[in-house]
Amino acid sequence: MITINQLSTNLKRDGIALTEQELSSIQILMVQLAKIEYQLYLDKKHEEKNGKLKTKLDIGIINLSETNKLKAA
Amino acid sequence: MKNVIGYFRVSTDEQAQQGYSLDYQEETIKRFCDFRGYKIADSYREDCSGKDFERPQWKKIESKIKSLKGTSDSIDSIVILRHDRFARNLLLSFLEKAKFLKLGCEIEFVEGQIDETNPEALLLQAISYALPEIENKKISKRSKEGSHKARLSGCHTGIAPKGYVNSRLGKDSTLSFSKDSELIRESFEKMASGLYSADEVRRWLNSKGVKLCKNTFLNMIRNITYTGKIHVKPFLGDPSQIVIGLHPALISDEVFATANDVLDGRRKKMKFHDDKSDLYPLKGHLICPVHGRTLSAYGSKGRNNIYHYYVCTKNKCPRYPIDWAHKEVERILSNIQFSAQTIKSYKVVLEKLFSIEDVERKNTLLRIEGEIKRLQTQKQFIQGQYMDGLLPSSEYQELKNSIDVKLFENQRNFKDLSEVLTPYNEYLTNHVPMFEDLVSFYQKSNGKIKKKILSCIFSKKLYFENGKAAAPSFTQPIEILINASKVLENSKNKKEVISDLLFTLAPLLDKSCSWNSIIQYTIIRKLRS
Repeated sequence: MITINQLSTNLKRDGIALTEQELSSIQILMVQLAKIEYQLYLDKKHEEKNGKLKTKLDIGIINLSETNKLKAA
Repeated sequence: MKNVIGYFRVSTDEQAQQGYSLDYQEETIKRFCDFRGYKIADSYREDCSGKDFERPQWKKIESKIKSLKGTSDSIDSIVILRHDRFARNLLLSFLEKAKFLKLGCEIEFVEGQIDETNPEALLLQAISYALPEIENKKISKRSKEGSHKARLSGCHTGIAPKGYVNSRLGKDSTLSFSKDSELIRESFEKMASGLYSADEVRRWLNSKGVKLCKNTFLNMIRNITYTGKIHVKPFLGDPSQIVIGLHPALISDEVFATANDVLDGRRKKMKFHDDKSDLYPLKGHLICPVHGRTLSAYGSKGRNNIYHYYVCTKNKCPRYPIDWAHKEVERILSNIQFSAQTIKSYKVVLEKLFSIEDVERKNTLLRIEGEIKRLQTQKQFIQGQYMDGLLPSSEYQELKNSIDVKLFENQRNFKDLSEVLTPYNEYLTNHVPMFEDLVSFYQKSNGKIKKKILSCIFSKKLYFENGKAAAPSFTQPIEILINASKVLENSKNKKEVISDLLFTLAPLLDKSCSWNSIIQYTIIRKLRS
């Protein structure tokens, strides 16, 4: 991810000087929000994949078994 | 001359078994009337059971006799072939005969006539009316006994349920699958899934062409025949029992039991998909300022639409329309700005996360890089050998060419792969990272993501006061970053103020200022810029 030192150096360029504890809390927040954003990206990617799969099912490229048909329904 | 009505009745079974066809009855009655000199005013054909008088044609006769009573065309008697064509019920026969006698109409039979002037005729009449009833009861008993025996041995009697057709297995009557059997099986499975109500499944079945009313559908779900079994009703002291049928099962016992459990409400319908976080993303993040309770959310049905609100569960608290509440929260988020370096640091974190997606490409690049290095070492080695005269010229050229081709291929692959957009860069071409534009990101997100973002930003629940969202309390890191960016903003403003000293010397723009002063002011601005 990003180290406290890197974060401190970056923020100092903006004239923001913070304590180590403050930097640590900002680091945690950034990781949390970045994970949310990354998860959203992954979800959309999977949705696209599923959408493609559904199209394949609709046009009959893939034939589901009886049990899977029920699950899909 | 007697004015009469001819009445001919069959019930389908009797017609087949005894040959009392309607044509035969009509012909006999016609001959009888001709012989007696009766005038047949009308004749009625009935295909109905003789157990009672709830018969459509018989009702018509009754109304006709009533309407013609007292006129010159009044009906004197109804002519019927024999007593069992009239009715198969002793009591009802007497009552019906008495009713028609009151209307001035007799019931006359071609076969088994009785002289009613004789007092003993009543007994003969009773016997004549009782015999068909006894016969009927005997037939009924025999058919019930036969049916019970057949069902005990696994045969199916009666009309086949939906999904099956009646068929024969040697001499035994049983069932086989019909063309609808697959749809019936699916409807059982849909019921067993617990995701649909009985009526939803029924309507689905109707849409597929299997028309069933509500009651028939419920009876179908409860019919054990679909599991390959036969339900034998209690008969003459024998208890009710379930036996294995000769027909094939359409569904398993488990599916049948689960579908019936769902129908009886023993199995709860868990609607896991019923998530309303997209509609109410602020649910759980708002608090009532009066009662301190977390606000709930609901939809109020209006005349034309459903209106959604966040509301306190206590009475007499104001409710907040969701659109308004969402805009208020977005307004708060729009005030959160991050400095350039904060955004840069965030992007570093994001890039690191996206690099997980890029592992395969990076590994391939490393492998190709290693291959290139190996080929270059080989090339240097053969060059050294050649220089030392250990390798003949022809062999050296051959080896060198071979290595050069491989090297070229690898270098080209390396270049192509290096130029491919990384998942992170690809993401950046289509999206703006969250820290660059928090509000836009929040607006585009779904309800669950919105909730997560709000939990990261606000340390306490939000509340509305005086028609707008009250000042929120942010989490510690957000508070720090907001304060830092405010300080940064102020320091920038100070620098701007100093550099604008010349600007302040310009004359004030008011109504009294002359065109000359405006021109001077414009020139100074231009020079400064």
